[in-house]
Amino acid sequence: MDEAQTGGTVELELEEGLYPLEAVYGAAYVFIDRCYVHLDRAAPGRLRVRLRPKAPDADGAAFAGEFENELLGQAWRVQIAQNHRALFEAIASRAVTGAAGPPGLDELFDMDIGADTAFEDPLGLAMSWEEKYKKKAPAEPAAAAAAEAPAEAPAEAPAEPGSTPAPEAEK
Amino acid sequence: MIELSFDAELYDGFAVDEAAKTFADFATIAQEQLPGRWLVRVTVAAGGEVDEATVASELDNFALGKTIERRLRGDAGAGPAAEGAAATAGAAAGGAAGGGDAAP
Repeated sequence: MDEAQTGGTVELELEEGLYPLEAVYGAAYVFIDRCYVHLDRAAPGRLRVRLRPKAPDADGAAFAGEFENELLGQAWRVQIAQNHRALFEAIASRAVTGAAGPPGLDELFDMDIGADTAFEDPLGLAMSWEEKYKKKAPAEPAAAAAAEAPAEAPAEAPAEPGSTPAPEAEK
Repeated sequence: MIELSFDAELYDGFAVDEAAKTFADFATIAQEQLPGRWLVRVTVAAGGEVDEATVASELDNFALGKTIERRLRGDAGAGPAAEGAAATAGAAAGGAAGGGDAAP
């Protein structure tokens, strides 16, 4: 970045590869209330920014320093926006989708829900309490014999996950 | 007379045109279209209310601000200078502030 000052006017030359045009626009927009800003192309790939403070007693060099700092900040914002564009778009699309609200009765009637399309429920969350914890039928005779026969085998078959132990009164 | 030169890649043609129209009440403004450039000539009559340099500088700022706003809105186009044709002159103050063909 080159800097030259004549009178109250400061000229900066920027490498466009380091400072993208969007960043230069952003920084210029911040300063147009305090300075007269003019952009030009010094050479291919190089931008020239001319700053002249509106206040007659203002320090042009100080404005140039502020402009350079602002330019760095804007360049960084442009970089962040490019890196996270997919995330921004995902958030925006979810917000727009959510704004549509829950489906109405007509939409529910129109939904195609059948044996093939119904959702799976591996944890049994959609089951009623009675259905999930109902008393099990008495064990089969063969299963009872298998449980008694081997000495090293456990006395009772391991309980199925999700089933409640039989109450004491039933034993 | 003060001549302002705007790079057509950096300044939106419609923004320059709008700036010229906005400041037409304060000065005589003539526009010329060169390949890749816009020329705007600002002339304030002697004894005018405002300084010629001030009008030219404010017009310059206005064109830049409008360019940035149009780009942010996403409707920045190449503007009337896209064809790069030489010399479309528009004249001036009091209602004929140049470049009528540049209106969006």
